[in-house]
Amino acid sequence: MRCKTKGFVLVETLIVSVFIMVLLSLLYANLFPVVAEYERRKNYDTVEAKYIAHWARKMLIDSGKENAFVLVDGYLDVTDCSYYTNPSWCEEFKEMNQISKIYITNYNLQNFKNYVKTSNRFGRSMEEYIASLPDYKEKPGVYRVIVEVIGSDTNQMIYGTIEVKK
Amino acid sequence: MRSRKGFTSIELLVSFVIVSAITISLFSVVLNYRNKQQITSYETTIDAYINEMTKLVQDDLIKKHVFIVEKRENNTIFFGFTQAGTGSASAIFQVSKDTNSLRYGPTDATVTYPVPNIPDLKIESFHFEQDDYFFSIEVVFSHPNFNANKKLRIVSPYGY
Repeated sequence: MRCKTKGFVLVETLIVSVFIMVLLSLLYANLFPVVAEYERRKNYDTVEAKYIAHWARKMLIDSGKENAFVLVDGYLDVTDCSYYTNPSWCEEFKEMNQISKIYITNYNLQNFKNYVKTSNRFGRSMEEYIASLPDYKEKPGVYRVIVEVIGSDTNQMIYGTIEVKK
Repeated sequence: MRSRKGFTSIELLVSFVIVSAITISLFSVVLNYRNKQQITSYETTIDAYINEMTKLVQDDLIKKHVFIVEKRENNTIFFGFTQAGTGSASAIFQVSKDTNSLRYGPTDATVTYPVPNIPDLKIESFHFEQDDYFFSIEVVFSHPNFNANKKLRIVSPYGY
C-alpha cells in the first residue's frame, strides 16, 4: 500500500499561522489595560495615604466647622482651610503632606460616584480612584474623607480614604 | 512504495541556523525580563519594609500622643509621649547609614530594623523638619536599578 506523504499545503499553514498570530496579538493588546490598572492601584490607599487620611479626619472632627458637613451632590470639597477653626494647623498639615485635595462624602458613595461621572470638576486620576472604590452601605452619621496627595517618591497622585463619624 | 528519503544536509543546516537564531534572540528577551522581575522583587521588598516601619512609628505617635519631638546627635529623633492613664513615655528613632539600619522603640529598649538584604541598596539621606504644629521625617533609600528613590516619610502633628 502506498504511504500518504502529503503534509499541509502552504495556504493551510498560512491560515493557521495568521489565526494564531491574531489570537496572540489580541491577548497582548488586552494585557496593557491590566498592567496600567495595576500601576494605578499601586497608588491607592497606601499606608502613607491612610495615615494622611487619618489626620485629615482628626482635623475635621476636632476643628471642622458645622458647614464642613453640609454635602451637595454627595460630597463637599473641604480643601480650603476656612472650613476649620484652626486654619494655620490646616495650612501646615496640607503643606507638610503635599495635599492637593480633601473631600468629605457620604459613607455610601453612590451619589458621589454618579456626580463624578457626569462632572468635569475632577481630574482623571481622581475619577479613576473614585470609580475603583466600592459603593459601601449607608451608615447614619458616618462620612468618608478622601485625600489626594502628591506622592513623595514618584510625584504621581496617591489617594486614601477613611471613614469619619461626626 | 514508501519513500525513504530523509532531510538533506543543507535542509538540516538551514533548520539549525533558523532555530539557533530564534533561540539567541529569545534568550536576550528572557534575560531582560528576568532582570526586570528581579528589580520588581527588590522594590516590593523595600516597599514592604517602608510600610512596616511607617506603621510601627505612626501607630505609636497616634496611640501615645506625641508631645515633644527633638532632633539629637547621630541622626536620632527623640519622641516624648503622654500616654493616657499610664503616665509619660519616650521613644527614639535613629537612622544609621553605617550599619544600613533603622532603630526604633522605647528609649531604653530600642530594636534594630536592618534594611532588607538587597545588593547595592543603601540609605541615601535623612531629613528632619519641624514646624509649629507638624514634623516630618524622611529617609531616602537608593538603588542603582530603581527608577526613583524610595522614601520612608512620616508626617505627624505633635503637642496636640
